[in-house]
Amino acid sequence: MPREIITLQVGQCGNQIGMEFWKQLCLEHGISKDGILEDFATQGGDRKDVFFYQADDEHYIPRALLMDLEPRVINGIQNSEYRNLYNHENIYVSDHGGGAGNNWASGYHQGEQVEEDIMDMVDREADGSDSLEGFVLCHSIAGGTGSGMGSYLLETLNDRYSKKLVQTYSVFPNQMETSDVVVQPYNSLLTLKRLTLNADCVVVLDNTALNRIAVERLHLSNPTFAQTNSLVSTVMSASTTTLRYPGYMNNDLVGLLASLIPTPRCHFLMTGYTPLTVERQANAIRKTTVLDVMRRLLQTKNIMVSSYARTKEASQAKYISILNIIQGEVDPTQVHKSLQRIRERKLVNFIEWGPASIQVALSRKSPYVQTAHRVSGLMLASHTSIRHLFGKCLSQYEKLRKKQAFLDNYRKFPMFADNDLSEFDESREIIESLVDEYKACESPDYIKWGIEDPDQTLTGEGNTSGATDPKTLVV
Amino acid sequence: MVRTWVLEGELNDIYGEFFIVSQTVKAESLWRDRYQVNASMLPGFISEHLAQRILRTGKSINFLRVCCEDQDWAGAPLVGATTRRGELGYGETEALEALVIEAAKRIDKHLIDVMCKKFKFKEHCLAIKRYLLLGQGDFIQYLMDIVGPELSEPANTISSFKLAGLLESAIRASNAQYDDPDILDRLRVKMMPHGSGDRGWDVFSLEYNTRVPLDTVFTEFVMAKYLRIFNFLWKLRRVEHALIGAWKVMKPNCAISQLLSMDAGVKVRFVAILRRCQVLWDEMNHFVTNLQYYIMFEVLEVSWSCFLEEMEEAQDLDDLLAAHEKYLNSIVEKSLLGERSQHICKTLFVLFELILRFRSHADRLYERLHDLQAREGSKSRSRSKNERQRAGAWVGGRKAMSQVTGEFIRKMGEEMDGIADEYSLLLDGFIAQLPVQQHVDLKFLFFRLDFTEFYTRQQANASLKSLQARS
Repeated sequence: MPREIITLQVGQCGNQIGMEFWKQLCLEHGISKDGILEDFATQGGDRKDVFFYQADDEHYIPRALLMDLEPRVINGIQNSEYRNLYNHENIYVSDHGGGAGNNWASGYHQGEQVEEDIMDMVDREADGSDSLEGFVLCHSIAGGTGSGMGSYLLETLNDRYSKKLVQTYSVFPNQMETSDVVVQPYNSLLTLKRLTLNADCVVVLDNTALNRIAVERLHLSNPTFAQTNSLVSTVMSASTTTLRYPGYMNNDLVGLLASLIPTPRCHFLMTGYTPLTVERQANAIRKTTVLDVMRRLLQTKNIMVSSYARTKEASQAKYISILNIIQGEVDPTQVHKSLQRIRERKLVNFIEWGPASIQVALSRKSPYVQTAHRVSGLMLASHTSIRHLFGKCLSQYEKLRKKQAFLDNYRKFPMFADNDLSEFDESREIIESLVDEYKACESPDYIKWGIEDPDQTLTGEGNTSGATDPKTLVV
Repeated sequence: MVRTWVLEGELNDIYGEFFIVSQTVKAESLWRDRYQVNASMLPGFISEHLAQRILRTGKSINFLRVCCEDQDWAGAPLVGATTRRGELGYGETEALEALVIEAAKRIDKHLIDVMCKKFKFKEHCLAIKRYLLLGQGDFIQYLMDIVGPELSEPANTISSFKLAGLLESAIRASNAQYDDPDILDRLRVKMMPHGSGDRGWDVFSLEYNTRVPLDTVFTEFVMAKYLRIFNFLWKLRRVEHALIGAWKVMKPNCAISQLLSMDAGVKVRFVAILRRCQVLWDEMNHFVTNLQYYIMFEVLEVSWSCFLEEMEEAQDLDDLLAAHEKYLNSIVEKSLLGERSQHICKTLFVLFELILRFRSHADRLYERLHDLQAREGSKSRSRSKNERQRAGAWVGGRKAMSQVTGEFIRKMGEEMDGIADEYSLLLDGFIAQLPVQQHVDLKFLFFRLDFTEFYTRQQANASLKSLQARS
């Protein structure tokens, strides 16, 4: 009765990072490219059944669904060494193979039309698990399939499996390059709405930052997609280690996420990882102690989301929550000492409207993957500065929308038919209010935010003042 | 006589002349109580230290023979005995000492070996840590999931047979299934004696059967301590489980979309009460998770690594016993179960109760929200996009409903206030008691709870306010 997690990989980017993720999991659990457990990996003490199930012939099969509207990436997977890993019934490529043309509306509409096929796959996979914990969606928010079809999936999952968790790994586009997808801002905005309303947790993977990290930290002059994707798979596999190597705490996804997301709307997480290496690259090996790792995780240069905040805004930004997953041989007494040091040096700024602390989970490392470092760490954190990333998305959308550019492509689809662009306006409103809520979290008065004097408007009675007095909220 | 005692562990003292006396006891206390040094019979040339050594050596042999059913002790090289075969003369203290030391070394080492290798002392300690001290998290979680509903029933209606079955399925569902069957076989459900009002939660516990000879270490008294720790950790786990359960009903994709289509007036009041509910949840969750982290790092893991070190260094069974006792006591003390922590521990349990009450309260609140949403949803779905204007017709019905809802929210708000006030009062009490606890490591707990100095600030504010009020 494992807490199974089903992974949905949608679109080109989603399937690419998904593929990397499964490669990494296979390595860590000693599963061969064909899904067969290697001889050396029979005594691991690890849990494989959260992410894999065993076929009748003992093959390990990922609980993964691969979907795309054009065949290129999925064909690539089916022609790779890993072709026998996946369940072929779990692969969906649309018949026409024409893709979504980088158009969110097209992806969404096509998702709607093939709902039955796709949800059959989802239901079958869900029925095959004993106590399904939830879904993980891998996609990008800028293109057509991952964003549009991904959005449709999020809504449908929210409807059909409302009690299950929905977590996403969402890739945000690189803002430094001029994209060949001119309508990227439209797609991003429309997807962001679903990520806000229909997901329980969004791990933001910002290609701008991933690229910067590859250049600055890994000294790659021109990082390839494969290289940034390997950063993503490192993050994804590290964030699931406590589920795969059970210990005293954090053994299921809900437990892991609940403490990170105290307020429902602020469910966008940033990540950081240290020390980083890319395949076949021998980095200078640094000293890694718990303190080193925890300190580096707090440095902005290691965070995989770029900060668009101006200096003044950045100084007001606050952590809502932090979870550090430390892997490797760790002396538990080091944890306390590191926390003490971090507090003394005031290395971290937390919200003021409630108690908070850095949570630390210790986890084992896979015995089958050799690393040069004794200790490595992943940070998952909710930080208010993420609002600037959304702000950026908003301003780019405004620019495009003001020019009324490229809207015709959207009007072709039912949601925007008859020149009804209210979907755009509604999405903008929701993202604006999300940005506001993050901003409100920076103030000690967050508790009162957005509740304009309920006493006065509703009952005509006066309101007492007092910043943190909870009584002011009584309705 | 010393010779037969230290070499063969036999006591043939029919006339009661020897300085070691015996009494009949049951197997688990054979080591501790069967043989004693009788100080009044101790000859002057044998020091207290040597006497103790003599005692332990014979005792070890005896223990090996009786409890461990071990015959190999005689096979260990008899170095000391062969160098000097003859009888020891009166007053040959040095020779006696040499003999004793030789024999003692041999037997002590052998006994430790037997305990560790044949009887897997360390493995059992680890098993106890995993199961009774909840180290095997996935197992504990399934167990909690499946026995939970059962344990909410009155204690006297619960079948322990059924619980045993559930324990079995929890083992099979988790990674515990890969453990040594001998170890799993020793794990049992135990129902503590219960009174009339008790629920299953109050009496359920796990038990680990160590059997002879390990019960010399894990005596009834020791197991009773483990039981107390288990009960504490299990309670803590239950509270955590309840908070996670509450989060599931208020989780993001449930909570947010449901507010969207709501009437503005009702919505703002819902937003207000939900926000309070979330913030209170956050505070409670912060407390419980940090308590858990403290227990895990500062208590269990640290004590365990100390214990491991001492286990490695242990020369004889007494060392091993002492190391284990130290380990156990350090856990008891640091997890507020020591005698001098009774008061704070009581506060803690009241806090736990309150959190459980909060959970059922939050559940009720969200259930109502979902109901309301379901009704609104069916309405809004029946309207098409262009017919929004017709919504006016619903306004009358809505008003009546929002009045009922308003009343409900008001009542829920009052209750929530009650819980919040009570919580902050209790928590203040708990925090205030922390520094006066005897164990220094408890300051780590305070450090974690007050990492951002939230509580320090709050207290400063409160005292500032009361100052202003007075002036």
